[in-house]
Formats: sequence, structure tokens, C-alpha cells
Amino acid sequence: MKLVSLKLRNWRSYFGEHEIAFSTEADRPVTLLLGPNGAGKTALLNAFTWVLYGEFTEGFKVSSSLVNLEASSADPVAAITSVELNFENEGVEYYVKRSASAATQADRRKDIVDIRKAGVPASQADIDRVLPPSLKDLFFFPAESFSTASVLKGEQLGEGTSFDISKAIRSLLSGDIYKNASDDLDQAIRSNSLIPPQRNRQDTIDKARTHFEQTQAELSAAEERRDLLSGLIANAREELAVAKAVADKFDQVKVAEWEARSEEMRTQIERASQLVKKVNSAYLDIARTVHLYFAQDAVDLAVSKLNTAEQSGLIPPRIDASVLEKTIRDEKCTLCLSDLDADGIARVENLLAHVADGRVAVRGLETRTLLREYLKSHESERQRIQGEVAELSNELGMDPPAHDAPLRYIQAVVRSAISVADSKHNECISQYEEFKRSREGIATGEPNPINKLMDKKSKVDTLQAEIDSSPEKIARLKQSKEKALADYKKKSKNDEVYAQRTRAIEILSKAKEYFDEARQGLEDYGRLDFQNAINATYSDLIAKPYQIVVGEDFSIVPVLSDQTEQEIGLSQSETVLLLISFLGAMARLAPQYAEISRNKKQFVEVGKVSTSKEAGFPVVLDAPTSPLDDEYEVDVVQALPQLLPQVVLPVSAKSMEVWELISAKIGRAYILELTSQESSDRAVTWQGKSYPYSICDDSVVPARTKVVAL
Amino acid sequence: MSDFQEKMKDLGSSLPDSVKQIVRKVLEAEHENRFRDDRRQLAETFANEALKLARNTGGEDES
Repeated sequence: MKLVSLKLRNWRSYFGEHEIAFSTEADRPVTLLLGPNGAGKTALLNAFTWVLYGEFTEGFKVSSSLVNLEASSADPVAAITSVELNFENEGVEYYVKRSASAATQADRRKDIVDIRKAGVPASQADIDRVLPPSLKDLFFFPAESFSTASVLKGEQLGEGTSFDISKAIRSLLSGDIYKNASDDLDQAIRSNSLIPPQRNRQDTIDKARTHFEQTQAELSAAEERRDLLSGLIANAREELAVAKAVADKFDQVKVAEWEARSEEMRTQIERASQLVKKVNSAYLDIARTVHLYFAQDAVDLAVSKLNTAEQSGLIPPRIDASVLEKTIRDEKCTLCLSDLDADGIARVENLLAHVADGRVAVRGLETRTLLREYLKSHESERQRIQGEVAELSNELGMDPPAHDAPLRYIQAVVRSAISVADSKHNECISQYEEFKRSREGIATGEPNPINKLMDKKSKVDTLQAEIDSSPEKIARLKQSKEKALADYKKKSKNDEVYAQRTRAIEILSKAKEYFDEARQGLEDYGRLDFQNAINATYSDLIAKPYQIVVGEDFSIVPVLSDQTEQEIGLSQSETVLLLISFLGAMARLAPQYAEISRNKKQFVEVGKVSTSKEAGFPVVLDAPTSPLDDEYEVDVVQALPQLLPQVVLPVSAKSMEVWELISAKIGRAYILELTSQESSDRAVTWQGKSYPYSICDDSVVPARTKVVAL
Repeated sequence: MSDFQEKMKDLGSSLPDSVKQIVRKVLEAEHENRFRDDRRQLAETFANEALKLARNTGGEDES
């Protein structure tokens, strides 16, 4: 893909019509646009993003005021601004023109857009296929991302940008198709067509279906959240880097102390929170075993009564009833055979009555044995609970329950433990809040940047923890869903109306899994391609023994390319070049991925794509050397022509001699000549000739920019 | 064969015929409707397709 020309009409400070033709020569890939501050370099960058997408780069000021002020003051309603872009892709010419009037410029919906592909009217979709909107921030890279300290001082690259690489890769590979497929199949599973008509409904099966739908919804929500996380953490890292840059202005030792103390206190809060959960869980555990201590009391009482009966001699009986009955019958003692008189028989009859009680007592003895066994078997449960509560008590600094404490007492200890744990948790939180409020080392009245830094770090850590636990969570939810579907299928098997719908849901569910695997694969293997591309690009720009490692979250870490993989610190120029390599890698991958997508060879090619500087999408880099000290500029400037087949560079003329170093690689050069009341009269020298750069003119209000070809 | 290709081939070959049919239809429809905003009709289409396949397979098509 190549940019051919850009035409501006009354665009921001560019009064009237201006045209830029871009260099398309392979050996002179650079188009240089030299302009002083305020000339409209960023406005020029945004001309691209506006014409292509109706959008602006982050930080672009007053984006509702697009029509040149001079033009709109002459005609406040009907003055028009327009931008026309010609580009070429795969031998096909594209033309995009976007216009807005002074009256409608604040409302993007009222822009007039004319798109043509090979001279024939086309649609936004045709543009999006070539230059996916998610890559806007890559191809048109604003100065703020270079010039903020966050880029140079982030711990990991990607902290200085909110660029979502995984989303970019998916866009280039038409991965959105797989995402759409997954989402649409998810919707299809919930379609009313797959719910049996009212007359056929059965409660049991409906309950199973509802449960399945719940598990499906939970899984979909988790998957959706997972897809958002890479973008969220990219933004969070950018905010962290900005906060760090501000906090770095303060005493570094103090900042380090604050960070360490903050980390310690957050860990204490987390620990206290876990303890609260544990004691509450212990309470629930006891509640579930509450029958035990009711049973324990009743059983203890029963056993004690039986023990008393035994000690009283009532049980067991000393003589069997049958012997006594025979004695009464025979009127003769069965043991010694002596005759019994009436008195003797009455005593035997009295004894017989107690023996009958004894039969019951025997059953009582048997029961006592059973009860004792019951107590014994649940003693281990009581001991387990006692052990856990003793441990919790020790953690909370409380007296633990005695080893043989009954459950009722253990429960009372747990109730106290809940109060203590809650109180400790609240105490940790208020101490942390107080710590954050303290202004030691920070001037009174200023916002506290250290707290902001710690909050941002906490946010990044939280998101990272969520990313790390996401695969396991999703795997668990998938299992639940499968189980629920299996249950639904089983219950609906005997009713054909339900069974058909369950089979349909199963088909859709399996198809969705296929597309989910495809999406994940694009990301996983795309990451490999990206890692290879960034390494190739970096080594094209600078000869250093570094290896760039791209993590699973697309964080980028330079390491020494030896066995140790030791992380290294980079100089200013090395860091900016790494950022440029990051952009260049995506721009080099872009045409390869576009071809793979066009030929539907995602599964075949992704993961083994190789890139080169001869093929790649163009990038517009606004002021790439602005954050650099003079001594580092040369490295970066000399590397830029190695990046891509076409590079457009709006820059200031701060160091003309440095740009002259690569004059042989510059195919086109322009000055964005600024005229205003505030400007000074300045000229720049290019290739031995002098050109006006900025002009002071009291009669020119507002400032005016003119594009002058060199 | 690339690792990715092999992985997806193995996954694809493990799918029942009915699922393969739906995957093909979904892929075609998604390419055609890539930039469409309102996707409710697509979801309904897929649901009805799956129901048709389910009626035809009658529980025989088990992987």
C-alpha cells in the first residue's frame, strides 16, 4: 500500500488549497515535512485520520473546529473544509474525500464522504478492509506518544501507548470475522427458535434449559471480559507511565519508600480480607454441622441415662426370663429344684416383671453402643472444625478453643473471630487511606502524584491478575456449561420437540468452540509473527545484540540475546527506535496479513510469516525525534529510511544538519511555512538553498500555513 | 503444514458432520456480512439452520 497524494482545502491553519505528493520511490522512501511549532504538523496527521475514518488522534485539540478560521470568518455558515487522499493498494487506486461546512463541522454525521475504488464509487468498508480502523493509531502516530516521557521511561514498552496489538493483529487477519461468528453463534444459541412452544413446555426440562442458559451467559460474559482486557491493560499501562513520569519529579528515594510501604499495606489489606473470608467460611461450616451439636446434647443425655441404669444394676438382667417363667410354671426353682411356696412364687413373679424391663434395657444397651459409635464418628468432624478454628484464632491473636471444646463453644469462638477479623480488615483499610492522605514530602495544595502513581500501579496489577486467572476461569465455566448442556440433553431426550432443539444448541455450541479456537490461535500465532517482525525491524534499524521478547499480553521487553535473557536498560535513542520498530513491525506485517486474509489462508500461514523493509504499509510519524537530546537524534534519523517502503515525517527544523544526513533517502520535501503575528522571521537551509520557514506579519490573523515544495 | 494449520485440522476433523456444515455456512455468511451493524438476522439464520440439521440427524450424528 502506498500513499500517493494529500490535498487540503481550508483545513485548520491551511488557508486555501494545498497539495502534498508523497515519495513513492523504493530507494527514497522518506517524505519530509518541515514546519515550526504551530504550523499544523499534528493537524496534518489528523487530516489523514479524518479523511479515512472521521476520527482524530488522541489529544488533538478543538476537534470541532476544522474549517480554517480565515475562511469561516468570511462565511461562517457555508465555508467548506475538505481533505482528499489518494492511495494505492495491490495495484488498485483509491480516492477518499471528506468535506464539512463551518455550520456542520462539529457533527461527524454531517460530513460528506466520497469514496472511489478504481474510479468506481465504493464504501467505507472498502477502506476498512485495506486500512482497518483499529490500526489508525499505528499508521498515524502522534507526537504526544513520542514526546511524553512515558515512552522513554516506561518499564515495559507499551506503557507509552494505548495500542492494543492483539486487536490490531485480529483486524489485519480478518479475525473480527471469527469474533463475529462466535458472538452470532452465542446469540443463535439463545434464539427463541430454540425454545419449545408454550404448549410443549415441561418444568423439569425448562429448569435444565434455564440452568444451561445461565452457564452459557456466564461463559460469554467471561469471554467478552477477556477480549477487553488487553485494551484495558494497555490503557492502564499508559496511564501508569504518565503518572510515573510526574511522580519521578519528586524525591526518588521517597518515592521508592512510598511504593514499598504502599505495596506492604495493600498486601496486609489482602491478607486481612482473606482472613475475613476464612472466618465466615468457618461459620458456614459450623452452620452446616449444627445438627451435630444438637445431636451431641441429646446423645450425651441418652448415654448418661443408660450409664446410670447400668450402674444401678437395672441392666443387664442377671437371669433370663425363660428360667423364671419355668420356675413359676413348675412351682419349683429351676436351678436347685426345691419346691416354692406362694411367697416364693410371688418373689419370682416380681423378679420376672423387672426382667421384662431388662429386655428393654438390653435394647437400651445396644442403643447406647450405637450412640457411642455415632459420637465417635462425628468426633473427628468436631476435631477438624476445632483445629481450623484454633488456627484462625491464632492468626487473629485470640485464644483458641480447647481441644475437646464442644461445637457450641467453638461456634461462639467463631462469632468473636468474625468481629475481630472485620475490625482488623477495616483497620488495615483506614491505615492505608491515612497513608495515602499524608503529604510528607509533597507540597501542600498540589494533587498527590505519588498516590495517583500507586493507584495506577494497583490498577495495572489488578488487571494483570485478572488476565492471569482468566484462562482458568474460562476453562471452569466451559466445564460448567458442558455439564449443564449434558444434563439438558439427558432430560430432553424422551421428548422429540425438546430433543431437536437441544441437538441444535449442541451443534451451535460446538461450532462456536471452533471459532473461539480459531480466534485464540490467530492471537497466539500472530504474536509469534509479531515477535519475529519486531526483531527483524529492530535489527534493520540498529545493530545491537538485543532480542525483543513479546509476552502473552503483548508486552515488549528487550533482553540480551544470549542464554541469560537478561532484561536490559536502553538509551534514549534505543528506546525511541524500539518504539519505531514496534510500529514498523505492524506496518510490515500488515500487507502480509492482508494477503493471507484475502486468500483465506489464516490457518496455513499465520505463525510463519517473515517480513522485510521492502514491503509494508506506510506510516506517518509526527515529530519522532522531539523527545531526544541532540546526541541521540542522529541514530534515530539515520535509521528511519530503513523502516518501511514509505515513511512520512512531519518534523520541526530543529536540527537541519541531521536531516541532511539522510537527504539521499528523502524523495520529497516540503516546508509548512507559518505566517502569523507571533512568528519570527526564520529561514531554513536545505541542500544549500534557503527557504522561508516562518514569517512575522502583523496583518495575518489568524495564523496561516502554506505548503511549499522544496 | 504449520502448527496452527495442524491444530485447526485436528479440531475440524473431530467435529461431527452437522457441526462442519454449520461452520462452513457461518464462515461464508460472516465473510459476506463482515461490516454489517445489525446482526440479529444472522443469529436467527444460524439457529434455524442448526434446527434443520438437528431434525435431519435425529440424534445419530454423535462425535
